[in-house]
Amino acid sequence: MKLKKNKRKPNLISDLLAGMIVLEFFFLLTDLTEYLLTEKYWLLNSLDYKLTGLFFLFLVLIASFINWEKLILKKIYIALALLSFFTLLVIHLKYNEFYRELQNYPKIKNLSKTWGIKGSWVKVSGRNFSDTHEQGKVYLGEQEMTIKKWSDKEIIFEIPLNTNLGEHRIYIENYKKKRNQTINSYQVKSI
Amino acid sequence: MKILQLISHFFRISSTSILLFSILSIFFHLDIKMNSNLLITLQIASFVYLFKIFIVDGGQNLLKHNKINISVKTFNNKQYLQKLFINLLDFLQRFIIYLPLLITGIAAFLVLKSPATNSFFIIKGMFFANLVLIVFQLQTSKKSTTSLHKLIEISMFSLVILIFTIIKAPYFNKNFTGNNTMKYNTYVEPAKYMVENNNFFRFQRKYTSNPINNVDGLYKEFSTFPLLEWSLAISYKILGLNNIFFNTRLVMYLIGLLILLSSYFLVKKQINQNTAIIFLTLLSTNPLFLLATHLTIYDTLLMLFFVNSYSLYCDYKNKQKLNYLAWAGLLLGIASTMKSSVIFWSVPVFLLDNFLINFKSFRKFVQEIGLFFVFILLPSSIQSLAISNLPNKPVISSLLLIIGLILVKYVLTKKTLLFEIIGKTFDWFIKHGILAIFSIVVIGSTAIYLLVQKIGQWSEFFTDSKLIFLAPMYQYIFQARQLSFVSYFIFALSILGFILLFHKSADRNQRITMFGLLFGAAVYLVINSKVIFFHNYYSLHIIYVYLLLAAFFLNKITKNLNIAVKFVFIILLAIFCFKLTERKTIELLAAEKWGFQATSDYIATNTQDNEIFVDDSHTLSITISASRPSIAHFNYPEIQKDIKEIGFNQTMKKYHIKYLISSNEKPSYLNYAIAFTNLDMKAFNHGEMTRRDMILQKFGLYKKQMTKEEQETSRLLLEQAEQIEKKQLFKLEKVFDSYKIYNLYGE
Repeated sequence: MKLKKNKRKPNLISDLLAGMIVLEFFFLLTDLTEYLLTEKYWLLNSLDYKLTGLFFLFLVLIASFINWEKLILKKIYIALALLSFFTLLVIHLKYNEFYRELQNYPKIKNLSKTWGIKGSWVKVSGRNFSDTHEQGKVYLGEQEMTIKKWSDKEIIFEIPLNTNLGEHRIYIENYKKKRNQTINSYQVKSI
Repeated sequence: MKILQLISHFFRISSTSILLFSILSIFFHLDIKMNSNLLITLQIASFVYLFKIFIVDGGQNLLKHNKINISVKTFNNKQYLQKLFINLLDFLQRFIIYLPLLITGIAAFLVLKSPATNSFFIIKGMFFANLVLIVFQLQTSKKSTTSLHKLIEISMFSLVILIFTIIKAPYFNKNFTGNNTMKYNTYVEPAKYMVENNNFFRFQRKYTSNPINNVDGLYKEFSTFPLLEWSLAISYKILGLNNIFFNTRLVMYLIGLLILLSSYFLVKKQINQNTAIIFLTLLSTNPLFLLATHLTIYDTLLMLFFVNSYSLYCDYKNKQKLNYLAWAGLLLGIASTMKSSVIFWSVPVFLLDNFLINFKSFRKFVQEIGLFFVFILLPSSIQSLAISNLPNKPVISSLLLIIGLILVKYVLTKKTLLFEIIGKTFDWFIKHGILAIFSIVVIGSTAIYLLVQKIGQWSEFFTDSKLIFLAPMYQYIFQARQLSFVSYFIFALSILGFILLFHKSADRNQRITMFGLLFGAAVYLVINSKVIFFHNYYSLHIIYVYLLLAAFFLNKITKNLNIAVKFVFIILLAIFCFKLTERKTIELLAAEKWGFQATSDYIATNTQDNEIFVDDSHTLSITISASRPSIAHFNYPEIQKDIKEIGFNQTMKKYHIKYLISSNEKPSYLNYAIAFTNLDMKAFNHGEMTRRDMILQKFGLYKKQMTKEEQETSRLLLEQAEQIEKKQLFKLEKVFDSYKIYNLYGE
């Protein structure tokens, strides 16, 4: 009976090490990408999970080329891998917490107009405004506006006739009493 | 690198990273940020690919990895079915890690797909089952070669563990409203408050609250060694209090695993491996064992300690090293500090066993039993002097505990000397015959006097003259507490096993072991019949012996079977035994009341921390979920006086007794009627009967007639109960399924 040669013997420790490193890179790069694309530069509303899945496969493929069995022979590499894994895990958990907290706050993407007269309607686009049945409030400065339409990504409000003229900061307050952190101004002009 | 190797590594690394991912997601509630269908597909693909490689190349891999010590010639000579089976075992051994990885990974992501689910318990259960399997795998892979015999042994044991886990898994997350709810309160509550207050010496049971002088239910002493409470507290500390049902059941499940493991080694040592595996199969599918590893009760822990103690004692018999005997005594001593009833079913086992071994040398019997008892008593002393006072005097008690442990260590080093001293004392007694008789009479009388005093305190636990020969009671216990848990089939097998003990094929060692265990069970049944009559889990030790006898018989008819056939036999036996008592198992484990969580949330939201609720009927477990004190009644003289002076509602407000919760059609008004009368509460016995009277009443033998005064009191209380109901003093505020919440403030 002929024996097939196999230079790399299957080894649980090396597989686990490889799995840990793959996860580390996955966490690091997806978190960074998510924050940049969905918060800082707002190019996307959320990450496409199909793409992140393919990215994960790509990382696993890269890892498959590496000879992990050689690496585990040196204990320092295992120690470093463990240390980096737990550090990145903690960072990832903290980031998740931070990102989740951010989703509690309304975020304004744009306004239909940056100025208007009393009685006019304004459309606000963004996200995290909360659902239709959990309506919040809109303020120009300290004055509450009249809501005409409310959804998680779009609000239409009417400027009441008793609104003060001048430039005011727009506040969207969702049902959790959280207000947007960005500064968006609206000027109320006279006719 | 070859393409095949690359693909193999790809699937292995994806499996491990998905496993790590699923574990982290479960325990840290991570967002997976990936399409879960992709992950599941990848995981399945990994498994299929690796399965194909190793089944197809099975024989070659056997030799290549040198994991199984079998030559090519021997392998080729085996029949096809056996060859296939060996390939499968080889695959299982190598992939005993990867297969659970796959299952865990898939299950995790199936669950995570629908976040609003309580099904994490399945995944957590599988995760811990995987850990057990991985530990086994790592243990075997440490050796350069593994014998086929060892491989089969591990595989069969793993199979039994898997069966045990699969049966228990659906019930891990059941709330605490099933049978024996008070048991959860008794042990879960102290553990919960230990973790919440970050103080493992805090002993609090809010369900035993006293509205007059101890609303919080705080105790100044540990009544017993709180090993179960501490184990639960450690589990809550690691896994959190959010999923308290799962985390509680997990601890009992792990104790069950340890019992299975210990029992396996004990039975393998004393009888043989085949009997051990069959016994484990019967035990892991037995409804009473499943209940005992589901409920939080000390009897399960006691079983664990007893099995290990007896195992060490058997090692002493074989190797004659006093260290084993000493540790056997210590373990039993520790068990006795948790619940002293263990002495009544375990000591007779050791006594008879030792007596039969040392039949020809009474001196050796006295020496061995004497030393054994010395080590049993040591932990009890430490418990009463040190551990019990930890809640009240933590510093002094901790110091005493350290001193106690040093003392135990010292006594352990002097065990040989102690052994000799006992022997010399025996010789002295034999030499000075009259003095010996006099000493025995004095010591014996003192012991009997103390025992009678103790029995007086424990009258509700021990049998008495009216019950000891009551045949209908034993018949009832046999039917309701034994047969219902083993079925006629197992019972018949155990009878055959008992008969087999007298056959020449049974060796002396096997006979002594079985007779010892039988004797212990019989003594326990007689002495503690009162508690066995009322509580099903007290029969655990007796059921253990039934199952062992049945396994002993089944071993006789299966010991010469082919390995593959034995595997199939174990699976079929497990299924058959489970099916026989399936209804009982489901009745015991699946019992759950609806409306529990909503009621708990309502109580938590609508009461302050110090406000109490009255548990009218099996609603105690709300104390755990709502973290509010509860009482069984408000029949206190102080409350009785205040009701007369300031009225019922104001009194309830004064003592912060806001709600009464009942799972019956209406509250048991009669239970509270006395608080509205002028009757002397201290003199009144609330119509309570002793256990003896209840047993006699059941068989129509209770002859006590009510006096005229008692009849008048009874009439008065009934009238009062009707008044309470008519005046609607308990105002129905909310209903959640079977739970009714009554407001006692009059709001």
